[in-house]
Amino acid sequence: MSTLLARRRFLLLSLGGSIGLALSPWGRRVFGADPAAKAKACIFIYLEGGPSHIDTFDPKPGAATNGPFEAVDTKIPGVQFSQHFPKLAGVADKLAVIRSLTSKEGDHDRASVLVHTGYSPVGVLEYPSLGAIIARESTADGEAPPFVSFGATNGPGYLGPEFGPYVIEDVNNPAPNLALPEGFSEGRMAVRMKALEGLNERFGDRTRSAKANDFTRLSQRANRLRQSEAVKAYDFASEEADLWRSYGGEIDDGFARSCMMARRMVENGVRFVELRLGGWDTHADNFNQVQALAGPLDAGLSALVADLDSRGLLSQTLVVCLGEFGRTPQINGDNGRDHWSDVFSCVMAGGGLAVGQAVGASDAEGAQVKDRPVTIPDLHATLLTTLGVDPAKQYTTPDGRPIRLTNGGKTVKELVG
Amino acid sequence: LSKEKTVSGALAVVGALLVIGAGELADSITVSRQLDERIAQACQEATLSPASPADDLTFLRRAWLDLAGRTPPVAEVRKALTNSSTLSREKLIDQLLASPDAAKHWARLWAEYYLDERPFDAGVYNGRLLQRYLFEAFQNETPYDAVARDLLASGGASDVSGPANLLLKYEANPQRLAATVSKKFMGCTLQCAECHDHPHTHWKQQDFWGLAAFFARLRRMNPVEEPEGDQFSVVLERQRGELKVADPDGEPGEDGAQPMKTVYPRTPGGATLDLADNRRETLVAWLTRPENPYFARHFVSRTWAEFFGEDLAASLDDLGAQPSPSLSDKTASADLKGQILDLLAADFSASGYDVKRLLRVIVGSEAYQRAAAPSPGSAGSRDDAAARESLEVRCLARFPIRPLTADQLYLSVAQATGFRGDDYDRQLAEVTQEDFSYDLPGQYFGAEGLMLTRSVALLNGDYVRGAAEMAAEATRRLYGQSPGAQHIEWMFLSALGRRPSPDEMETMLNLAGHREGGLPDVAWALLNSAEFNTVH
Repeated sequence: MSTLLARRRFLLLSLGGSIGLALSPWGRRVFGADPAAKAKACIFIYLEGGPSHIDTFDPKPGAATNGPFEAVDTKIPGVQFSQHFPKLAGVADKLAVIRSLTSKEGDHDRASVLVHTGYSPVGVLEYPSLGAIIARESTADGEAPPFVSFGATNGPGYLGPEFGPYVIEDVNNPAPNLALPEGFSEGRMAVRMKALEGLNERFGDRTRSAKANDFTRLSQRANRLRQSEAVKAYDFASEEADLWRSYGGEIDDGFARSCMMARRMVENGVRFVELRLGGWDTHADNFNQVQALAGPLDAGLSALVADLDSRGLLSQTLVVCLGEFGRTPQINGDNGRDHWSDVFSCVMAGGGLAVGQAVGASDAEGAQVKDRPVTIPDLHATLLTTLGVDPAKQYTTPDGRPIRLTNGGKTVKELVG
Repeated sequence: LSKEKTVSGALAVVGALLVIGAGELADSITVSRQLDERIAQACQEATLSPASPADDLTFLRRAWLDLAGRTPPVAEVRKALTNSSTLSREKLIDQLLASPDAAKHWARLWAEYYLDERPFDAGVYNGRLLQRYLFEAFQNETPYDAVARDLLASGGASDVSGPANLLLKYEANPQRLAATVSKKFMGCTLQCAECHDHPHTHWKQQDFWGLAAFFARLRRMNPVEEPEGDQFSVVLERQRGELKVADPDGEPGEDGAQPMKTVYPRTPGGATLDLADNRRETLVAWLTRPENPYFARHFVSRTWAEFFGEDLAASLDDLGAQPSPSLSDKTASADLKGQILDLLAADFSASGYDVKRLLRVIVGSEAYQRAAAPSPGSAGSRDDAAARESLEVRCLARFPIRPLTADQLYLSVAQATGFRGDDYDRQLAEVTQEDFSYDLPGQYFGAEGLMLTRSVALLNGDYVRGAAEMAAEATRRLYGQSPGAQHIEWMFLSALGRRPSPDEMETMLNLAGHREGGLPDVAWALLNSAEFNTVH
């Protein structure tokens, strides 16, 4: 019943979404990735805090660990989601779910580093995040920043600040400081830049440090970014009210906007967008909180997939959505669930992945991996492969050490083929 | 337990080296020299020649930024320039440590560390009152073990007791406080053992729950709403009550209720102790005794990071299992860090947890006072310059160039130009009370360090535009409308803490006189420069 309803909603949504929209500008863009690659961009949705796998995409109906949520059928035969994700259930034929992710990091900070960089944190070396790697691999030197993040995220580590994200702090004011003030000419900016570059060069000569160059390159990139269309604000509510509503704008304006802006950035040449939905650290009152968070996630992610699809962008855009870990199968005394990294789930779409399937499985209680463990390095290898970057590639750190892009991860063949 | 003894035995040996005569503590400078000896040895092993000492003006700026959180005022720079003798660095360090700027700077760093956020009055707890307490603790030179005791073993109302707000921030919840103690006072990831034995370390579930049980008798009176609409909370210790946790091995009750078991206080990796009336006193006594291998090391490690950009040890989890955290990484620089950690931690606890002494030892070292440029003898080829820089920084052979934090940048822009933003007047009262109540710096420059977002704000933000205009106006008032060398020199002194070189003067005079430029353009270039935006 709810699945049928969801399907009908989905139909309406894709119709509404495709009316009067501009054609994709993909053809005009130049990308540096492997031409055989299917995906040109990645939208990484980080569920900060660690959502319960059981209460989202790996329900355990009938098990003592399941809690009060019911499971509903999805468009993938034999695969159910929690009842609070009806829209995603309705587009599940366009999704791939990994239900056997596993890691050893149960601390938020450490697990977040692992999920973003593919490496557990160590003291001596800061690893680059996936977004920074994609920025580094992007040879397009246009106006659009290659890596954009809504809110602070892991940085470029040893790759250097040039490949760090353009961080959007306020979704309603995504690009403050971009427009030159009235009467301020490009010529004057050019004169300023020249003087600045001279100062930095002398500082670099005096200190003989690469840090001065980092600054110059960042200033130059910032100067190009001023002219980019990609990160400029626009008024979704009035321009595309129906679309905004389908993204869940009435439930969570911020998350819906960030999803819509991610789509528009990808259209404009941004290669990696991270956005996040926080609040999943549900040590107490888990079920009410998960239900409240499921609304925006279900609407935003399903609308994003449908919207990308209707614009012909889905096959070139990899969408991945996960938290830093799952949550305990046991329900604690506060009706909450605590951190659990032995097994958890991840939802993916687009990018030419083999969708409409669930990879791997947890056991009957959702406590351990039953079938086909997938590590975070495996996931990273899969994402990189999909984005046309060889996961076995090595970078050299500033102190001359060769480091692989993924920590021994193996591409999940079921997804990439 | 025996492993902990090995560690504390090693600590005692190092500690003994620092003690001169009968229980007398060595000068901080003696410890700085011991630190330098170890670094010299590591440099020698890596065949690196350490950089020359930084010149006085460079040191003046660096010490102001690292100890007081902002660049030095023009008057201080001029004083250093006109003094015929060299700067007394020791005196400068003492002056800075005694300044309210330093107390503000360190209170802000600590408050953000303990709260995991910018301190503010959240009603249910008041982060700003905690910050006020930490400000006073720095000014009064309260030993760090006493600070820990105040923070963990106190209680009271959120609008009265500064330290009680740490307990209230974590809802006086035993699990959250156990995680906080382990992470923020021990440098360990005990919280991973909340649900299962830690996969990577020796921590067991009973370590986590035993720690949590010290907080089992805390009670929080949830936000009390006053008739005026303001809120406060109260946290206090009861004389009875134990921590109950789910028992996976127990039999379900008749009504199917989850079986529970009682957990009693037990120190991590240790045994049960004789408990004081206030159990948290017992915990703090264990935490702060000199033999505790975690407490001093953790504080030293993160304090070091404020000066050199990197912790001495990412985690102290392995400490109970190995004699030194350095053994997990065989590189020379990691071994050096382990040695520094042991040395500084031993002195820190021997000094009775004297925080300013620790800062003096670090800032007084040659390692901290070196130039950022490599030694003239260490001329590598251009190709391996980056690798060389990285190695030299890791072996502390040269000073690591670090981007300013948003707070340092905000205060330094204000210092260089007098500008504090358009909101300044409206918030004046609040801002002057405790520097800034909420995140003005983050709002203007982004919370992250050296990032594209900040570059855009520096390049074309209204904030820096306003600051550049104000600096230009300041020089016009001092030296007249027509831009000249004096205008430029003032801007260099106030922004970079030095005079311009002749060719810099020429470039900037050209920019100031350019058809499409002016004095604000000079200030803009300085505020955007790598030199202004880094500690170097």
